[in-house]
Amino acid sequence: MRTLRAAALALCFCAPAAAAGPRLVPQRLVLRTAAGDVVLGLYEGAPKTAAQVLRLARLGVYDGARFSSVVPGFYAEIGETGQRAAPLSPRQQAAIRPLPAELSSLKHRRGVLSMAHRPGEPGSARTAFSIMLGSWPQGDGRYTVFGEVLEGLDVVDTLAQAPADASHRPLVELQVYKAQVMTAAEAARTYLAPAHLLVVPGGSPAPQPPPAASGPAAAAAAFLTLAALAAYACRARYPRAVGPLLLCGALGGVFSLLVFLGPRAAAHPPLAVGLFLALLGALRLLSSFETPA
Amino acid sequence: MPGLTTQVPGARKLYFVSGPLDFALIGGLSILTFVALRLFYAGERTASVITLAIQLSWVCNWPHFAATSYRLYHSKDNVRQYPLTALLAPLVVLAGAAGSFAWPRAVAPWFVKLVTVWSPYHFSGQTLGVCLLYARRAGIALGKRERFALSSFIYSTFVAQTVRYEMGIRTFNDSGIPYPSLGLPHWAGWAANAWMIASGVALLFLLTRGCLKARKLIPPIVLLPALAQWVWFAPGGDWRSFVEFVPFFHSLQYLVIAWALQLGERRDAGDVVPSRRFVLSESARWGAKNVALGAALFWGLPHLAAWFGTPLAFATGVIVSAVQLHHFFIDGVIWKLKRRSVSSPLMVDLDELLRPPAPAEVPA
Repeated sequence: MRTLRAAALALCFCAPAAAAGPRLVPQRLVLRTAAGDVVLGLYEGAPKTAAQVLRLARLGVYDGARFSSVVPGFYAEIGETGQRAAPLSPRQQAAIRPLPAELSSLKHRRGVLSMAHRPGEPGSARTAFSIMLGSWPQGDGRYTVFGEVLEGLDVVDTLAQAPADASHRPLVELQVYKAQVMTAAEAARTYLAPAHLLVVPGGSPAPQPPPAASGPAAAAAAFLTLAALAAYACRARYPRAVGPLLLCGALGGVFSLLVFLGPRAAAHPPLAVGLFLALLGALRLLSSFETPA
Repeated sequence: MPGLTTQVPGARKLYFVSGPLDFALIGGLSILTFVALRLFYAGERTASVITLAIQLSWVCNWPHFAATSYRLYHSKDNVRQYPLTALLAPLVVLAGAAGSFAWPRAVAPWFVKLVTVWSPYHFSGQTLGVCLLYARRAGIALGKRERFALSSFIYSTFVAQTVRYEMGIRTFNDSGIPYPSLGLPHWAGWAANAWMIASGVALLFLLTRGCLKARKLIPPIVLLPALAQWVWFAPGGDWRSFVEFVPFFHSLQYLVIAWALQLGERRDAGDVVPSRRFVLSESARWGAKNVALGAALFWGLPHLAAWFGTPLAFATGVIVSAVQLHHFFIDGVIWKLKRRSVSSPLMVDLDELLRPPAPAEVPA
């Protein structure tokens, strides 16, 4: 699988020469997002935009950035500095410069990256860009097309499925956990989290995760039963062991709750709070795990 | 008696080694590092930061995990004292690790998550312990209220930081194992921060009142670990270049205490004469064992698992989590200051270890 992926990326890398498409800069931008990982290739034909995006990514400007606008089948926009999880440092702010438009004949089609700018001000692009999920002929020749998604377009599709308000702002946090600049070879080797289902509050369009497999359930039941039986068996001959065995059972129980209910917690805030408190309670109990002999 | 200035019996020299060195290792260095990074360096995890943090892991983080295992398992007496922790805890951890290997998508992410929540909780336990240890060395017994406020403040910093990470929907990644946030609501963040601030204010109030009543100041090093932890988790918690080093500073603190205990126990065993040679040789022997054991646990075991066909990154994630959980289990049990066998050797200071007692000090 990894070889196939490497081959596919290598083909992408070589493709411009063969197909006379846009040539890519040697670096790749890997976005570790809330719904999986995405690999972006940037075009040599938009050198200033590509250089700024890579420089800002290295400085961490896109770490903690949020998708600020999503429309399924159309686009997902990312990188507005006002939408970050944490404010920019002075150094990061200083590195952001207005970019001139680098217009070309490239079309706005599914998978390309289009630099955002204020309406009517082509030289106002800074950090935000859109990942196109469909065609947009109106943008051709007006917005800088500076790259494309090489891997993980299904991840962006998943992100775009999140519920949004009338202004297309997501109602849940869609975060880029980390943006990493890599060489093409490194991008081919790195682990890429596949698109995973986005659990959102309110039972919205995003599908719920599949129920956990029966294997872990059976293992958890076996563990808890074993702990209870062991505690029962020890109560007469080795009473010191009863407490620790029950505590092990409690920790196992809380861990099982995490495994089975954790994937649903984000959709149900009271459940999330309950799980968190149960975890803290179990940790507190474990501090009196054993009184020395 | 309420308050904080009761003179406790057995109070000894305040510092293990010396004021400046104790201050640096117990938390001062971490605070200075945060200030330096905040003023002169970026907030992101740069390649240099990651590289340095990994290099420090070999000589400090990993040995600190090893020091716990060494302390529990190096003698049969210790295992006899804590038989369940020594024998049952590894089985529980192994069960979790086995579940992670068997169901990498369903179980492994939560196994890793358990570590990420337990780890700062464990930091808090150590921070409280070190504060109380220095209070004891200073001859101060904290009253119930002061102790409660101190404990509440320390644990609230952990809760506030953890809640911040667990709010909203996001995915973290540890050694290629993606794990989700719990999705705590945003009001939980407000509540946790309010608790932290209220605890801090209450602690300051109680300590100030106690100091005024007793007309005596608390030595700053008693509160330094709590202040350091607040820096780690509150202002430093969002400065990623600093966060990378927090486990190192926690480990450094741990190693100072574990080193003192090791030397104190060896001296109390009665088969050695305190001397410079004793301190150097015992420190070198103990340090070398911990470095070697740490490398075996954190580098050797994952590579061994990879040799059997498990992807190295995944094996590293699961095994490192298992080793850490084992450490948390043991540490929660073996460092109870209420036990004389723990607190007594921790009253030692370097001077006592370097010089044999004068004849007048030797009990008849």
